[in-house]
Amino acid sequence: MTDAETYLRELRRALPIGCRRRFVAEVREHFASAVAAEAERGVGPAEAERLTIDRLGPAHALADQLLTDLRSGALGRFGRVSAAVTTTRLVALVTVLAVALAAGAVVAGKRSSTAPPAPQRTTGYAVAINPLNGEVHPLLVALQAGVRRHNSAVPLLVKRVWVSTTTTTP
Amino acid sequence: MEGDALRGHLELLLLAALARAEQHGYALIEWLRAQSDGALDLGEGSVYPALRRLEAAGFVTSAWRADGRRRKRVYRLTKRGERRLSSERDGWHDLVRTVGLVLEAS
Repeated sequence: MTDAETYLRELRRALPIGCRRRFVAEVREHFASAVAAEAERGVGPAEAERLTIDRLGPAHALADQLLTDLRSGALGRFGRVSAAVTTTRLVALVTVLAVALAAGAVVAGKRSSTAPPAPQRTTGYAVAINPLNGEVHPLLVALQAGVRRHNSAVPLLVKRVWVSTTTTTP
Repeated sequence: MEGDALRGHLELLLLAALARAEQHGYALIEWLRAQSDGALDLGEGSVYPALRRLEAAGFVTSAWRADGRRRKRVYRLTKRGERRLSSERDGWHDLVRTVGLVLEAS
């Protein structure tokens, strides 16, 4: 790996994802132009790359300049957002989402094992059942209507019922 | 003249360079160095962020352009950039005149 490639790799790592592609491509072109110009003066590619790196300064310092501008808003509102999206943060976010999805899948699996088969769409409703007359009320309506007061000694049975609906397409 | 002495004037220099012709980053740096007989030793790493700031402010536009097998990001001054250059140039002349008056009086 040449010095220029190492430099560009360090620069890429230090930059936020949103702006690295263009910036790295531009600095890569800078190296190519510099090597071509130095070749006309009789300087070899390796030496030309070393001179160019000296003039550009360290990759992290170059990235810091751009990051400072991004964070200050000097490169627009999008720049601030872009500066926040680094590789490390993106990996962390993807990891959190993956864990959340995996946990959701486990919970959904446990629920589906106790619920009736739901080939299309199944929705759970909480209902209150009056044990005296077998009336079934939506839980919220039952509480508002005072069904419970019908016989305070006999508590309402609260159950979850599963309603499956089939969607047909014309 | 090194980077610290140029701080605050880099954007003016870049606008002035682009007023002459549209150019890519490396050519801009080389042109400025040549015009100053090598006296302007720009921190080359500061040029690209400065060009980004000028672009974000609407003073320059840029686009990739094919140059043989290579692609170069070419910068061009906008109308807004021309007005900015004009006012910055006036400000610079005022500063030089004012500092000159003080130095000559001492």
